[in-house]
Amino acid sequence: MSEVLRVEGLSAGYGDLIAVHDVSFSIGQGDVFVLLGANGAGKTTILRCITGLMSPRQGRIIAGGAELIGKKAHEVAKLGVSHVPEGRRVFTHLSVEENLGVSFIDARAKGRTLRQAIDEIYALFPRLSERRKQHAGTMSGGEQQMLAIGRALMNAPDLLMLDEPSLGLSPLMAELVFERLAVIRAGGTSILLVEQNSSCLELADRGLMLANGHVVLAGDRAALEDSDMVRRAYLGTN
Amino acid sequence: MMTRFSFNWIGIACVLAVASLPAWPFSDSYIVAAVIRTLIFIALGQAWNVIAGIGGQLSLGHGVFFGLGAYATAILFNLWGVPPWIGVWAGMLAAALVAVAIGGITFRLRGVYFALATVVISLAFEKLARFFVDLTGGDAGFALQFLGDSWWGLQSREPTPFLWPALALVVGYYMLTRWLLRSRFGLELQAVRDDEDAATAAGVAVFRTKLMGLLLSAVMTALVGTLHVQFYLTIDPGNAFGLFQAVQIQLPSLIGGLGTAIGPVLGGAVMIIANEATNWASSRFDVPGLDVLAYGGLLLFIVIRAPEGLSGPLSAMLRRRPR
Repeated sequence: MSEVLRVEGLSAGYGDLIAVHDVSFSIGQGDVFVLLGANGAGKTTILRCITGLMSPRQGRIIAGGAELIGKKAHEVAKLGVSHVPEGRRVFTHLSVEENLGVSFIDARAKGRTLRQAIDEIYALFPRLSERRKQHAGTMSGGEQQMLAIGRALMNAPDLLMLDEPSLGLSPLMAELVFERLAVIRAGGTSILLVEQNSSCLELADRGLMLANGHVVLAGDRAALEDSDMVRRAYLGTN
Repeated sequence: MMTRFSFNWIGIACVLAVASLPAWPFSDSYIVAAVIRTLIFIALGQAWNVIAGIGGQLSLGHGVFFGLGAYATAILFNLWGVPPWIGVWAGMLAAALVAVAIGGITFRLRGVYFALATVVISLAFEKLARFFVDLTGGDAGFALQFLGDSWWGLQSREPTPFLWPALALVVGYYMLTRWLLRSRFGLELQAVRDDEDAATAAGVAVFRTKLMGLLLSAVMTALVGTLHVQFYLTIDPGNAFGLFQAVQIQLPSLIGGLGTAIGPVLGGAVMIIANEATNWASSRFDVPGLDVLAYGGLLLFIVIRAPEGLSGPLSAMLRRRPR
C-alpha cells in the first residue's frame, strides 16, 4: 500500500509548553485517518506542523517522497497536501468562482484547465454552481464549508486535511459534508480528519487518539469504536 | 448587462467632458485648476486603494510615498537640472525602496504593525524634511525653479496643459484597478485581505503578495507626487509627509467605496465638489466656519448612510432604473 503521508516522532510546542510529544502515524492512499482527542490535545498542532504554519521541535513529515518540514506553508499546497482550516474560512468578498480560481495551481493541474477543475467541484457540490457569482460571505455556513472544501480540492490533492469541518453546522448539513467526504475518498483522495463529531468514525479507516499531546490509542475503526476512551469522549456511552 | 453598459457610457462621457473642459464657454483657469486638483486627489486615492482597499493592508502614512515622489523630482530639478521626466523615476525608486523596507519588516507579522510602521515612517520623514534645510528648504518648503512654459521641464504658467496628464493618470489608474480586481495577482491580494490563513492554505504566498501590492501602490503614489509638485510648483514637509496628507489620501476610497475601481473616483469627485460648494456658500452668506461644518457633516452623513461607500448605492440605483 502506498503512503501519502508519514509522520515520524513528531514533537512540537509553544514556548515551554509541549503540545505534541513523539507522535507517529502514516496514511495510505485512499484512506480516511481521524485524529481524535479533547480540545487542547494537540490535534490542530499536528495539522499546523504538516501545513508548514509551525515548525516542529523534532520528527519527520514526509508526503509524496518529500520532506515537508522546512517548506513554506504556501509551498505545501503545491505538493498535493491540501488543508481546510477550521471555521469555514472563505474569501468573503470574492465570488464562489473566484474563491475556487485563487487556489488553482497550474503545476498541479494534471492537464485539467481551470474550467474543468471548477466543473469537477460543481459536480461534487451542485449547490455551489447555483451560487457561482455570489459573494462567498453572503452564503450560509454549510455552503461556505462546501466552498472551503471545494477550494482545497482544486488541485486534485493526494491528501485532504480538514480541521473540524462539521463545527457549527446543523446536523443535516454535517451529515451532507461527511457524505461528500465519502465520495471524495471513493475518488482516491486520502483524508486526514480532525473531528469532535462522532459521525466521523463511520468514515474512518484508521485513526489515533491524543491526550495532552501523547498518543493514547491507535488502530483501525473497530479498535477505535471498541475503546472505552473513545466511547466516553465521543459516543456518550459507558 | 444594462448596468455595465450604461456605466461604461457614463464614464466615457465624463472623460470626454473633462478632456474638452478648456473649450467650454463658461470655463476659466480657476475651474480647470479645480478639476486638476480633483484629478490629483483622485489619483492619490486610487493608488492607496490598491494596497488598503484591494490588499486590506491599512497604510496610515501613505504621504511618505507621495512626498518622496514630489521631493525627489523637485530637488533633482533645482540642484542638477534633471528634468521631471527622469526625476519621476528617481521618486518612484525611492518610494519602492521605502516600501520594501516597511513591508519587509512588518508584513511577516499580523495585526497593527504595518499600520504603525507607516505612521512612524511618515513622522520620521516629516522631521527629516524639516531638518535638512539645505536640501529641502525646511519648514518654509521647497519651491520648484520656474523656467517658463516648457515640455522639457513639464512647466506651465497656465493650468490647462496639466489637465490631460492628470486625466490620463486617473483613467489609467482606473483601468489598472479594473484589471487588478480580475487578475490572478489581484485575486490573491483580495484573498489575503479576506483571510490570510485560508489564502496560505490555497497556496498563496502571503508575504510576497502583500509586498508586491505595497510596491505597486507606493510607485503609483510617488508618480502622483511628481505631477503634484509640477502643478503646484511647491512642496513642504507637512504637505508631503504629514498625517493630514495621509488622511486626505485615504478619504476618496473610504467615501467612494474601498476596494472598488470606481470608488476613489466617485469619492474624490464628490468630496471636492462638496468642499467647493460649502466654501462658496460660506463666503456667499458671510458665515465663516460654515464650510468646514457643512463639509464635515456631509462626510459624516455619507459614512453613516453608505458605510460601504457611495459606489454600492449608486450601482444599485442604476440597476433599478427602468429601461
